[in-house]
Amino acid sequence: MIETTYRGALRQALTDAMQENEAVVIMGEEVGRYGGAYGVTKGLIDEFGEDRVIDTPISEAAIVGAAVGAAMAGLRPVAELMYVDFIGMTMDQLANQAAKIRYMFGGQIGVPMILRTQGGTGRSAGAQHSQSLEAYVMHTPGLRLAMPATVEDAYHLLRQAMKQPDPVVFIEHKGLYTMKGELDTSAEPAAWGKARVMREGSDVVIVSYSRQLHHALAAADTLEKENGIQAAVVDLRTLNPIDFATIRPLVEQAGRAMVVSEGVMTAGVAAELAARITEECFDYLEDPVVRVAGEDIPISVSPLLEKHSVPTPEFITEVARMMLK
Amino acid sequence: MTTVTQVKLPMPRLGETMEQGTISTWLVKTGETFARGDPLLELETDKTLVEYPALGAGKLIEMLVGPGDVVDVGAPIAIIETAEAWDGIADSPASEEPAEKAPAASLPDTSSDADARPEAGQRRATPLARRLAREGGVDLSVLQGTGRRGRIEARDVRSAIEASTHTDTQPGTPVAAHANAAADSGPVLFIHGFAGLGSNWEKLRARLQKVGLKTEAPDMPGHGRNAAEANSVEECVAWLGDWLSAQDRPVHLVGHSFGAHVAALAANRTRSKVSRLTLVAPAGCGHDINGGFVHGMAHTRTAGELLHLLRLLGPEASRLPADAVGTMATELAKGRLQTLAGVIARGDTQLIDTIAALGALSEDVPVRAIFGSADSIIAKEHMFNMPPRVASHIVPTGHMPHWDDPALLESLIRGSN
Repeated sequence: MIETTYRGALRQALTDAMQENEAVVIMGEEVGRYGGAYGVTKGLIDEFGEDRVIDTPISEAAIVGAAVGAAMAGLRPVAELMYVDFIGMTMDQLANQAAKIRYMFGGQIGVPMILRTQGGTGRSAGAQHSQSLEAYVMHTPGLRLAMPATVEDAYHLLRQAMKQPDPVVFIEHKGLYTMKGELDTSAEPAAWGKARVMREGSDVVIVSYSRQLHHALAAADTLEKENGIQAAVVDLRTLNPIDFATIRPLVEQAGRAMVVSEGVMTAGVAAELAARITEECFDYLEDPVVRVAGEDIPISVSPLLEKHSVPTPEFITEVARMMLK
Repeated sequence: MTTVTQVKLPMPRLGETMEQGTISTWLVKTGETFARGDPLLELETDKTLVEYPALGAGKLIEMLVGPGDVVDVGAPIAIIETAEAWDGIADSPASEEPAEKAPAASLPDTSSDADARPEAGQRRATPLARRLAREGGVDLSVLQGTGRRGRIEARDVRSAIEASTHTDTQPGTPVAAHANAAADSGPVLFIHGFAGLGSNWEKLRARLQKVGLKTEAPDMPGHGRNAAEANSVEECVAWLGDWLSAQDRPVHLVGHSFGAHVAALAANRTRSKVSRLTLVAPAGCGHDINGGFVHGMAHTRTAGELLHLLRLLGPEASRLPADAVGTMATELAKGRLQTLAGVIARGDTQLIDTIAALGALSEDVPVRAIFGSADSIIAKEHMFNMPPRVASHIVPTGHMPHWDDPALLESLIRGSN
């Protein structure tokens, strides 16, 4: 058991995977000598050399295209996209190639690659560097999608992702890199695709992932202390696959559910989850499933405006109170 | 096998702008049967002359309008017998009152227009409440919704099921539902009578609070600590209406004497906020009243005069301590109520009417009226003027049943009689 950061846990996962398997290669802009825009790959070039930690030209299409080819040729590439905001540049490689190849070649070959990237608000990075675009990925069958919220998952989820036979988009949160936590690399992690109940509660179920999980947990604490409201909080961990088996009994017990996501509300992940919960648990609901999500606006550079463009713990608390009034 | 029912056939709208139409000719005779698609009659509007075809097979029972009659869109033109559901006429049975309609829960935005009221299947209830009702054999249409904006929630169904297992009644019968509603509905709001005070309800409130009911008893405009004056009934009704509108849960409204009149009128306007209405010695339910009492209270100047008036109220009122009578006399001598007394009663004649409001209201909200057998202000015989859906009780008290027998009033208000 070691104490480390979210960033440290990610680096540890990459290090361990590269030591175990020579086929693992990292590629991306400034991942080598600079150590990655957020320092995740710092020092790896010294340990594994320029052939396995590859600094690429500034071309997202080239990075992901090369990773698709490398994966088909037998490597286990981990491509890095500095910001998820740039995912549009890679969409043909990602959505038309990586996601479709297993299907179009009749299962003869897959694309076991990872696309690591980061998103979200919290660093005053402006409208083109602060988005939460997981819905783009979730909307494409053939792509797996993992979004770690904890130090443990930064390590274990990335290790699990690197064992998948299909392309996995792995979206980190820029506001979590410095978060500290305990990590036991030898512990048995929750299974791939399995959600984790972070907190039990019989009044309302809050379903979340990535950084908003922490806001949901803070809100649940306040709700218990100030209102005696017991909120269950679920960390989805992966958005493809989605673990409905874990969510369903909780919602059936509480009769109320809220989905919290940093992505914009309209046609977003929260909308999909809310619809699914409503369909599967309709007869158990006492209230419509509520989406608590980002505003439908570009994210401002102003820290105050940025903070309130996405759900805050206070806002989640307020919504839960209204539901239970 | 479908049942054949008699329904009223409404005047159809034959164009966006049509408001009225003229019956030109009936093409079917009374007693004749017709098939779907058969022309029933010819209608004339300012733009066109058209045949009105039958939307299903049936029989013409009675023509309600004849050739040349000008009829508003939607008004009944005939009674027909049919086994089929016709668009637009399914909700208007020929008999005005469904025989066994139970008092419905107060619904949000329920208008007084009977045709606009949702059918039982469309009651506002949460999905969970619907499933529990289905599984528990509970009829949602007889439940009181205590949730947000009057919707039926799981707890309403659960307590109905519980109530039905604790009594001999069948699940979902109105009796079980009402007994439960008393325990589970919002606060009880008391409205005092003419020249009374919110504090008149103290004994009864203490009893209800002991069993966990929330209660409130404000002073009406023109009375006690309420700074607003009341020179008309409307000012009191509007005040209560505002109070009700501000509530987030429906209340059980209890009004005494003139307060019962105010309560009935306000409840009729703000139905979604009233789960039940209880009238105690209600004013406005008959022609006569003890006018000497009303005007005496408004114009009294001395404790001596007041003592005589209080004796008219009944045994408990006659026993009020001297200091309380003195305070009351000083307060009444300010003359705040003189104008109001004049709009309530002229001599021994009541100038206000409560019955019309009760008739409409009692279709939606359970209403109970309590009369004192020894009441010398408002005659107990007014009980016979109550609309049929109002449950009436005669109690062995004077004009102040809540003073003379608070235990009995408690049980009536809790509905555990």
